[in-house]
Amino acid sequence: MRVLLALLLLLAAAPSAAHARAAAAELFCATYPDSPLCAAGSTACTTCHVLAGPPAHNPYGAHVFEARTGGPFAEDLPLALEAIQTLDSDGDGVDNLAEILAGSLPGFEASIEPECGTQGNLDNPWYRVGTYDPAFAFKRVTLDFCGRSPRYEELQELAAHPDPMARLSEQLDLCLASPYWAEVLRELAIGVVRPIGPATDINLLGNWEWDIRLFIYAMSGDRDAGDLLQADYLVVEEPAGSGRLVAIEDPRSPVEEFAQPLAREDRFGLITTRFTLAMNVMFAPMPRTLVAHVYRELLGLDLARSEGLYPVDELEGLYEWPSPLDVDDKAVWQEGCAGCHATLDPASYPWIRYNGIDLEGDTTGSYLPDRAVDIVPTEQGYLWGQPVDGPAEWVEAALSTDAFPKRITQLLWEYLFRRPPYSCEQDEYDALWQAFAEDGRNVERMLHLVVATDAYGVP
Amino acid sequence: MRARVLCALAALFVGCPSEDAPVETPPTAPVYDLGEPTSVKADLKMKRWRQLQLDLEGALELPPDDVCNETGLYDCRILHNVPLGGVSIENGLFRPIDALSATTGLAVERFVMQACATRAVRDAQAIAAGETPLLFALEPDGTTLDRETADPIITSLYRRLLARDPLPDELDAVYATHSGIVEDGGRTLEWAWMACFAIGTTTEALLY
Repeated sequence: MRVLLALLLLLAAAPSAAHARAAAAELFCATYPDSPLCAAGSTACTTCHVLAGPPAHNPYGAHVFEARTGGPFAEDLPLALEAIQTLDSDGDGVDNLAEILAGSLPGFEASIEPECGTQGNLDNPWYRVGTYDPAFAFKRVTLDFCGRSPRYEELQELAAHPDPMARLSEQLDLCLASPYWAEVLRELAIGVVRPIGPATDINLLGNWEWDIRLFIYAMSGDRDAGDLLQADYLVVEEPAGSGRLVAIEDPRSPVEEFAQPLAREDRFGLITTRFTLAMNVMFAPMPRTLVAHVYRELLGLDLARSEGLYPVDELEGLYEWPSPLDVDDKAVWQEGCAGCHATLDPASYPWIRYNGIDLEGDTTGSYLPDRAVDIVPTEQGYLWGQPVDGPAEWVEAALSTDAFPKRITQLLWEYLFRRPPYSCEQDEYDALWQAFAEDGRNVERMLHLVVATDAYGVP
Repeated sequence: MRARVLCALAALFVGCPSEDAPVETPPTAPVYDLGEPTSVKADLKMKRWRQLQLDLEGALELPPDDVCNETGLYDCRILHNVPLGGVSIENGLFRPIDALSATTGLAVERFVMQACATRAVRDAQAIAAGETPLLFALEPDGTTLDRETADPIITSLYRRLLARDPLPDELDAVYATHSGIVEDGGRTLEWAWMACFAIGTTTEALLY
């Protein structure tokens, strides 16, 4: 008993942990709206906190904490940020403000990458270091998109080619049609869909192969990748085992109808497949997990990391913080919950009529016009803080911002580079997702731009 | 004192050096002056399992199913998938592991070792059947090797596995391994196998 008491006293006397506040990320970005760290609308927890382990400040976060004067958080934090912006918290020789504006974390000394240094030694017998090298890029293209190294003869031919960039582009087109690239897209799809269970059309919890096929289809050919969110068609392999994907308007057999039971007007790409609904709505009245999943996997914003927070104060000032309605009595109005739920709940209402798992009815992934009308009478909600009425408006709003093009660009970039862009590559990276957004959200055209970047072709 | 206690504990298992035994200093690695980095980016990736498989298929002209099978039964493409950057739905691994795993090096070696061995065996079978071998035009039980025979084999391996010609030093180095292999009881065909393995597991072959 005494030991327990001592432990309790120790815990009570311990200094308070470094609380990460959801509002802090937004206040940071309101102070530094042009920082690449705020590209997602709010900055990552690692701006002020350590990467792993118990919650704690990094050196920059510690300086912010020390600079606070104890006033209301929303007023105090921006002043503290400005008060320490001329310091060099991480001791890497660059002051905090310069790091923030360059997209480098001011609390980690290694966050300005040595890879962004100046290439001094240009005397390399193998590669054109410091400048775009078509042979280097050609090797990357054949390996990244065809899955194999270039042949000796191919490199000889490239060296003698009058227009090596044209040859590179031609090779990329060949590779994008290869079975290897289809396998890469399949692996990317697995990361997004997160398959569980048997891939069979008679699986009550959904056959995830439909999701995988839709992903590969929308991400290839002359198509709009926005179909990941908006497709009202289904994708089948025809003939089976051929790898040839074909879009169909409706199921062609009772088994396919069982696999994808929604009517065409109720389908919205990967959001409403039987598998996605069964796995992410499950038994919950409120489809919060569904929206959080789509938010994270297709819009690139992880609410759990305070990304993409656009709180709506549905209780209109009842509390000091923006609060959701708490339609299902989960006490999500509390300050610690509302930080995310004031965004998540209003974003979920438009999907309220989609059912997850109904054990009594032995159905999954269905659309029920009267589902949960007692707690959410309409399909009106909010996305990005703006009102949307129903799933179609939700999807339209989702595709209207930078989030989706950034996410697709991120998926492909991180496959190709196996890392995020360095700070010195940020301009090229931004140009990629912007071009993707403006050019029909076509993945293959964007990949042609990727291989022409210095990030890809400068050894 | 602490060292003596530790030593006494260790002696229970392995014995303790005498009081008079000289204290051995651990060897230190030589310090090389590599000068300025060849590239400030040094932005290299390791080939994943499909790339390794397709490269070996193409370079050694082997059917997909014959590149690597552990104990002749287990397809390396499945067995070594995860340490070589694959995903596994069955195991809930939906994204490749970022870092190299403890068995990545072993898995790479298994792939290359077996693919090279299969090519050596097939070439020996071709010679026995009176056909032209693809790569290793060597007497299966022979133990001698001259430069006129070795250099074209080494050059072909470099072209097939690294898509370039070997440097003179590289020709010398690979040829020089023959004598050691024969001294250890090996045959020239085993030299060819090891040459293939050595070139196929260089960082140049595995990174891009």
